[in-house]
Amino acid sequence: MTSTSQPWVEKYRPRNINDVAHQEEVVRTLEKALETANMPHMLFYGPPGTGKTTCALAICRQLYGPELIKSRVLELNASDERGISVVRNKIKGFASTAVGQGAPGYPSPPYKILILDEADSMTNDAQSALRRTMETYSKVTRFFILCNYISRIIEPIASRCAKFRFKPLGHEVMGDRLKFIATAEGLTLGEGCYEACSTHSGGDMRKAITLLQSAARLFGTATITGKEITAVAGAVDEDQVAQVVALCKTNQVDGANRIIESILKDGFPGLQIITQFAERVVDDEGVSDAVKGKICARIAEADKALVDGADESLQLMAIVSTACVAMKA
Amino acid sequence: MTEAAMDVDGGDAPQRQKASAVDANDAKKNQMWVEKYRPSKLSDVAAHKDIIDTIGRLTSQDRLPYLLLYGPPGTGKTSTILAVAKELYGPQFSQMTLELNASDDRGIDVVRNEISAFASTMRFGSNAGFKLIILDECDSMTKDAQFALRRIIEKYTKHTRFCLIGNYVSKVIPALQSRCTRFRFSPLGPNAVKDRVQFVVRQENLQITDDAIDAVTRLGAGDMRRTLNILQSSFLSKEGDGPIDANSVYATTGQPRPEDIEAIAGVLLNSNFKEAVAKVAAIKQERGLALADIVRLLVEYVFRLHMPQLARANLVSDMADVEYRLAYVTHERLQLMALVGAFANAREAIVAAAK
Ligand SMILES: Nc1ncnc2c1ncn2[C@@H]1O[C@H](COP(=O)(O)OP(=O)(O)OP(=O)(O)O)[C@@H](O)[C@H]1O
Ligand SMILES: Nc1ncnc2c1ncn2[C@@H]1O[C@H](COP(=O)(O)OP(=O)(O)O)[C@@H](O)[C@H]1O
Ligand SMILES: [Mg+2]
Ligand SMILES: [Mg+2]
Repeated sequence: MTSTSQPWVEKYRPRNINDVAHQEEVVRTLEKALETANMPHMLFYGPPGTGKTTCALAICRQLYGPELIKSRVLELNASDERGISVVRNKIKGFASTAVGQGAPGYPSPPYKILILDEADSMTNDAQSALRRTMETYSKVTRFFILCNYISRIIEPIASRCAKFRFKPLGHEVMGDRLKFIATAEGLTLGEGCYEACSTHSGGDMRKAITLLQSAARLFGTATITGKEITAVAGAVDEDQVAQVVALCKTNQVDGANRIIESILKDGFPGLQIITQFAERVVDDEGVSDAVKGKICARIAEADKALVDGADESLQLMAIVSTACVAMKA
Repeated sequence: MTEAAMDVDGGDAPQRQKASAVDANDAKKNQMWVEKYRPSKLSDVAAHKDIIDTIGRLTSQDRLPYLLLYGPPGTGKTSTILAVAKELYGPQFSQMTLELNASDDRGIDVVRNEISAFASTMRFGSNAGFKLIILDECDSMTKDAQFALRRIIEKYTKHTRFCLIGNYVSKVIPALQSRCTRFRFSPLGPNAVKDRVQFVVRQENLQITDDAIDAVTRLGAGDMRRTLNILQSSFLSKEGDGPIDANSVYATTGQPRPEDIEAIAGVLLNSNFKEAVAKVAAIKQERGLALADIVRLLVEYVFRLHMPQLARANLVSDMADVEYRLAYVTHERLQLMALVGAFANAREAIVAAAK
């Protein structure tokens, strides 16, 4: 029973670029590249679970076939050492070696491909050292640079690549893919399942598939509905969030904070609580736009503060306090 | 001829297998455009006419000073010095030049040994009286190595010329700067970019609309390499048989079209908070746009709007905060709410001023 233990994200990772959903521009570019055997260096960026690694691996497989890929493709990701000395030795060494014979039946263009996955974790120095290598050996090596955050890639590297933004997957696209997986696994997707997967994953296909698999594993039922998905998604109970908002409206800071503390104690991540709180405030017809603006400004700051490693509980208290003051009648 | 041109670029390129005529053609066919269209003569370098004329004159008069070429990416620095070297040495290029860049270890020992060794060995069989040492990407050399270089530069003035190249001149120590004649390569002007784009379009036999050329030029923002990469990816991702049009250029780069920005601004200025969040999120989703790109273009739009100055000041300041936070990997939707909030405040200020 290996199939039950294998994560579905891997099991259903598209092997062919045509199966990659929702990224039409990239897919067309890569298809044309298959045809003409020509392409520039590629920079794929965008949120997690949108198909970047999948695309890069699939095109390599289609260009070289299962045998040649071993010698023509080098993939390095964040778990590999990629400091400046690796760039100068291993990467430059791979990039500079000549290519041999192609594989029959595959386009096998006369260059190798070097995939730098999760490249936003490379230091600026290491990135700098890539600059001239990407140009000098461009005839024998193409670079695929993959990352979530384009702002962490230095400009001279971005300039050397064709940049493609991978878009978060929309409801329908995600639904189609989930249906495909469910059918293959003998599951039925019941009411609200797509919506729940889509909402809780925010367009991250990896997360959506993981949610589905966790729900299937946890509940063991043949039909998965929105309720099961929400249960494994780790969302805070909406009633609790509503209570916090109501307390803020009547300026009961202490009461609101007590609830927040208890939610945090239950192990919910700060950002999850903040997001649900924000959605509620924005949707609330009884709050004026000016007040929403004030609260959301503080929330946006807290978001940044959390990225910088600030204390979750303090940031949440600050948001609640701001909300109480802003909503004071 | 093409073979020679290629070898210059890859001075220490790998031993390729015996290249038959067919292979050579193939190599050209597989070459990505930025390299295929790298200027091979000084006169091919687009824009920077003053700099190119000056360097060309000094080269032909055999009076080349030490050079420091600096400026943003894709403006022709490396191309210029490679063209100079080709003009100086022709086929002897690789014996007469030493190119070191950030992919080489350029610690103090290498500077002392490799560079001195190259600079001090005898030159052979060339008309040019000196050798050329190109230190590309010198802005990433350590301070120590730069200090060591200072002495070496002076020691070998007779038989060598140095050319330093970098993006950030501030990272080159003043003592080195003062030993060189500095040339700043600024971003290319739109006309120069368009001419070069049109040249590539003719060479590649592309079908492309004028609007699309404008879009490529605009998105390239004066970086010729980026421009050519956008052109090639727009060509590759083109749907169907028609010409490349502006829409497909924007779609390929994932950049907002001017009309997208117009639509988003319309929503932000007219809808209430809840609606604005929903509508902008929908446009973002449908067009596959990133909030950071939207904010940057919206700022330009806001400056064209007729509104009280103080309201604009507050709005732009708030937008700058959103953009800054997005650069630090924050949550798109929470930041979108902050952006909507900034416009909500601006709307109120506009209404108040009208009273
Ligand atoms: N002024 C220019 N005229 C024509 N083509 C240019 C020019 N500048 C850049 N290009 C194009 O961009 C490519 C890269 O140019 P080049 O290597 O000279 O840039 P650079 O200024 O050295 O950039 P970096 O600072 O990133 O190294 C060239 O191969 C060429 O296709
Ligand atoms: N566009 C997509 N189409 C189909 N499946 C996708 C897509 N994006 C992600 N997936 C699924 O999510 C998993 C992770 O995708 P991956 O390409 O590794 O994401 P990332 O963009 O983070 O590199 C894949 O195994 C695949 O099952
Ligand atoms: Mg990945
Ligand atoms: Mg350069």
